[in-house]
Amino acid sequence: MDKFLEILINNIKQIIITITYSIIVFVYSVNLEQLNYELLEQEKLGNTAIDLIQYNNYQAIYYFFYAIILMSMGMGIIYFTFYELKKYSADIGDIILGILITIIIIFIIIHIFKLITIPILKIIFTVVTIGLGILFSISSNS
Amino acid sequence: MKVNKIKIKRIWKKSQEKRKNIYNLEYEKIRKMSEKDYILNYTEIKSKYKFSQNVKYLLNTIVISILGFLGYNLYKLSRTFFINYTTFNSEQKEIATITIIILSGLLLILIFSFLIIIYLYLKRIKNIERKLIMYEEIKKENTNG
Repeated sequence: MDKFLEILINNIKQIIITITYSIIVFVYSVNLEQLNYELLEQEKLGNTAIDLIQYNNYQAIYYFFYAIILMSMGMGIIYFTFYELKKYSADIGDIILGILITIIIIFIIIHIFKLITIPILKIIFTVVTIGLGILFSISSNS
Repeated sequence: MKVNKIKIKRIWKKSQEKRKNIYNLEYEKIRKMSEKDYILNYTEIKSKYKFSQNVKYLLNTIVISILGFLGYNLYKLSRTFFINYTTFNSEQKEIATITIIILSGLLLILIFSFLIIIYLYLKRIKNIERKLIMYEEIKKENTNG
């Protein structure tokens, strides 16, 4: 019990950061799932990619950027965990906790990626490809 | 419950002290090394330092080239967009604006990520430098003593 308490207190920073990050991602995921459902319903009604991206005041773009920021933050937390492990810990308990935190964060990152892929990333890729096509064709003509 | 609180406080204090004394502990560790280990570690740290100094320049060059290339292309696209804005119909305007906004956002995030990576790398070099100084100080101590 003492050993367990010691490990928890030694790694309190990482634990607090991971829990806060998980809560933020949970709230984000719930909202994103709702948006995904609404976008898929709109898609079934026959709306185009540009209509979907404009849906609810361009919410898809905001969620796309939030996803990138959250994924980068996750990678930052993994880096921080390894940095702390390397600098301050030599104990097997700390190492196990560090690996556990890393696995949790990797799962969260994969979860965000899975949620954002369909339909938001698909819509964004479609619109950006069309936009780049328009802009490049004009710039090569002029 | 009271006992638990005291226990937690004790462990917390111990952990903080360990963190504060990490440099002293490292000093002690180096002092206790045998001559062979000392030479091996010192050579390793020295080569690591030189290598990371070289990688620093390489990393900066790669970052500047990637960001320069992407930034220049985005600038060219934005210029085309602003020059031909009046010739677009409403849907084209919408698509082109969204494209420029998304690409600018991605570039901005990329710039921030690269800045963070460079900052962390410089911090790492500082740590290696600090270790090298430690080794050199102990070397001086040994030659003087």
